[in-house]
Amino acid sequence: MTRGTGSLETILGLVFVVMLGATALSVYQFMAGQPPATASTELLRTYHRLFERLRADCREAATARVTQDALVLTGPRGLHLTYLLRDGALTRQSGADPAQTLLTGLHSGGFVHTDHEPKLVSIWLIPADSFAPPFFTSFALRGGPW
Amino acid sequence: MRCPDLPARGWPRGGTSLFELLLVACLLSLSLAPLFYVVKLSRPPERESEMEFTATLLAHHVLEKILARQHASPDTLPSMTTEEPIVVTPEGFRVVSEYFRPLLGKDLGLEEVDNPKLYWALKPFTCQVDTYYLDDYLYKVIVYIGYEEAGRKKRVFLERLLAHQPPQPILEIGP
Repeated sequence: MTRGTGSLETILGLVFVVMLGATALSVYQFMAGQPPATASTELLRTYHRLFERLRADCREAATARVTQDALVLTGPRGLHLTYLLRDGALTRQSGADPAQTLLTGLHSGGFVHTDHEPKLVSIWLIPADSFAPPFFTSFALRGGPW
Repeated sequence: MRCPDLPARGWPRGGTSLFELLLVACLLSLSLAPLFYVVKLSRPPERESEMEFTATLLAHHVLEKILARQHASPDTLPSMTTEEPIVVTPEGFRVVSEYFRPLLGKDLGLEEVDNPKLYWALKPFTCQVDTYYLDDYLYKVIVYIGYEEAGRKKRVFLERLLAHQPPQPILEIGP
C-alpha cells in the first residue's frame, strides 16, 4: 500500500482548525462590520419616523386643509391634527395635546393640497444642510368614504 | 489472521494513501460550501442609501397619487408608461412623467428656477409604470423609480393591486 507523509488524524485536525477559523472569522466580520451611524443615517431614521407618522395620520384623515406653513388633517369624527412648519422645525399637534417636534434644521418646506386632487396631500422639506437629502412624497387621505 | 498494515485498534498508523488524501480533500471541499454561505450570511446588511430612500419616497408618491385619482374617478385606471424624467430636463425634449405634473404648482413639471435644491435632488430619478390585468377583476400597478449610483443603474419598485369594474355585458335585443 502507498504511504503518504501525513496521517489521517492530522488532516482531519487540519479540517477542524480551518472550519473553526472560518467560523471565528465570520463572527468577527459580523460583530465588527456594522458601519458607524453618521449624521446622514440619523437623518434617514428621522425621515422614516416622520414618514410612518404622516402615513398613519393620513390613513385616518378624511379631509385636509393647507395654509402657507400648516397642514390641518380632519378625521371622520372631527378630530384635528396640525403639522406646522415654523423656525426651521416641523411640529405635530393633536387636539389639546402639546406640540411635538418631529424634525429640526430645515431650510424650507411646504404642503401641497389641490382641489383637483382633494384626497392627496404632498409634503416637501429641504434641510439646512445642503448635502442632506430632501424629503418629498405624498399621502392619500383614506379616512371617510372611499 | 490480521493484516500487517493495520494496528491492533482502528486506523492505520503512519502515512495515508493518495486515495485517502483525495477523499479528505473532497470532504474539505464539501465543507467549504456551507462555510461560504455562513460567511456570506454573517455579512451585516447594507445600509439604505440616501438615493434609495428618496426613490422609495418618490415611488410612494406615485402610488398614492394613483389611489387619489382612482378615488376621484373610480373608472379610471393608470396606463403603462415608459421611463420618463420627473423634473423638466434642460434639453426639454423629454416629457415629464404625468405623476409629477403638476408639482408644487408647476403644471409642466418642476424647473430649476422654481426650487433649485429640490430640482437637483430629484433630477437623477426617472419614473416608469407597468400595469397588468389579472384574474378576478384585479389590476396590478408596478411603479419603478430608476437612478444611477456608484456607476450602476438601480431601480426601486412598489406595486399595488387595484380593483376594476367588470365589463358590461352587451345585450342583444331581439325582434
